[in-house]
Amino acid sequence: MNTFTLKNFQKQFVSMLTSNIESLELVNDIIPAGNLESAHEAIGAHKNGYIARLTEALGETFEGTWFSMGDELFFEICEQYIKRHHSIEYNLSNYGLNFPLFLEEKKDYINIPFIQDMARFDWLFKEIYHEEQHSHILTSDLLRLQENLHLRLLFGNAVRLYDSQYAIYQIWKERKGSQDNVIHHDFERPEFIILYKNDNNIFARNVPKIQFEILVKLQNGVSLNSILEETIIENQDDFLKVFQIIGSTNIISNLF
Amino acid sequence: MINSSQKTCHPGVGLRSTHFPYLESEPELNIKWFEAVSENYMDSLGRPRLMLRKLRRNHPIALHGVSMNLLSTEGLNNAYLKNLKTLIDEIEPFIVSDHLCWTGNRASNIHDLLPFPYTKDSLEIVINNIDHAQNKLGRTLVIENVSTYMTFKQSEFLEWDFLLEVTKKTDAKLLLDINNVYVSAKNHHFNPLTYLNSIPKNRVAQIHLAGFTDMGNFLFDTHSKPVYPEVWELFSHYIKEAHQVPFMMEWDEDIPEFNVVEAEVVKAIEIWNQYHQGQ
Repeated sequence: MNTFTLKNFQKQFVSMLTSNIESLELVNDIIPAGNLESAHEAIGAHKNGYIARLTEALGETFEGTWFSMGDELFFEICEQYIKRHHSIEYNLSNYGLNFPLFLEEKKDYINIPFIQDMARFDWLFKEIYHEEQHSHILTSDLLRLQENLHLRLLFGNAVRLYDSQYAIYQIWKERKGSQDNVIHHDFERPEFIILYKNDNNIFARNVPKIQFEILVKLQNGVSLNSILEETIIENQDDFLKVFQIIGSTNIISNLF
Repeated sequence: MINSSQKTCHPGVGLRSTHFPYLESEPELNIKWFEAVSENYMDSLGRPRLMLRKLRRNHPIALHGVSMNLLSTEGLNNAYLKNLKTLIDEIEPFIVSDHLCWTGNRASNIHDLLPFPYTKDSLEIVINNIDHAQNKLGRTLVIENVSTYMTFKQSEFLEWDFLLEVTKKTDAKLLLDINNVYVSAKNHHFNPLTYLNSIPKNRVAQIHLAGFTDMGNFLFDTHSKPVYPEVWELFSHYIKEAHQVPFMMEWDEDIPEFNVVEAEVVKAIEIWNQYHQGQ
């Protein structure tokens, strides 16, 4: 009776590809193609492709991170990540969710202070790219807030609020260009961005910290009335500016 | 939809995001239909999905998957099938296809078209999986032969016999990749015509053309080059008696301008015309 079932075969094949755990049973069963001299060479055709394919997937998602690190360092870190984090996604473009955390772990080696912030932004951009354009309420509907401060705002699905310790957006915008263009960029300051879709195009808008904090509360379902009660706002203009932003970006789907 | 009762040429091309800007300009095309990689559109409601909807208005679409994992010994991923079904219901493709291979297990998706031994055990597993998928999707699947870089001593079937047995037992159709037949024939030292002549024409729903890379000691299915002359010869041999089968060109790496890919399709149209034009 053949005990080398397809299930065992697959388990051993995956182990050889991802963990270098050799199976003599599998090696002895393989007839290499063409003029390949060994089972290991035949397995190598898939093994090399595995690292390359997942690296390519990470490169497509983390364009700004790749640009910031350069080819050599990015590929090296990708290989380390791929060996530790196997893909469990059927869709390759969903691979890399915890890549930003992995970069944080490796921050002393990578030695680029903003690299985790950049990777987080890359991932959010990917998410937004695949989001459906939300429908938005009209500016005239927003006026209902004047009559009822207890109303809450439902943000569109294609909206992300991003804040970071380092200012990465100008660097990210240059990701398809030359590193020379960003060499003098001052990233040593925090950054607050609304990333959103409007009319199926993706936009990023920098806002001051205080306006960003108001937007975060609104996105979390806090009513305007509650925000006004719990927040000391020295400059009431920030509230007005938040609603100007909301009106011009079409990021609100509904009031409830 | 494509009408198979007339002698009409059905040339298509693989839809790739690098060609979106060109296609958005609505150029005149020599091709009639597009094949879209299912996974690139299943989870996206952004630009890829918008582009697919737009093209669907004027063109038939085939959905071609790379992740159904038909040789999975752990059963198929029902979330995957559900998302694919949603896409199918919206796009109404004339073909839904995937590969006769496995792509990994639950703990590690390798994202590759992996080889397997052609055994009775494998046959039973793939038949059950195809049945399951066809029931969930409510339609017949089309199964593609893949290129391989190894075979296995424990195999009990020749590749084409295994493939035919699968289609007989499941009613699935074949996506005959002629480039893959050639690559595997060279890699495993058999005559590609033996393979092609073993495949009944009425079982084939679609033909793939692509280019491979000669690695020196084996041929590698890279989809990164024009179709090789030897593969054109095989296409010519097969299409002579299979006028009704839609064919298309795949190009997945080092993707050139759309018109370069389309030029390969035009070559295929010219070969088809040699046998069938005016008939």
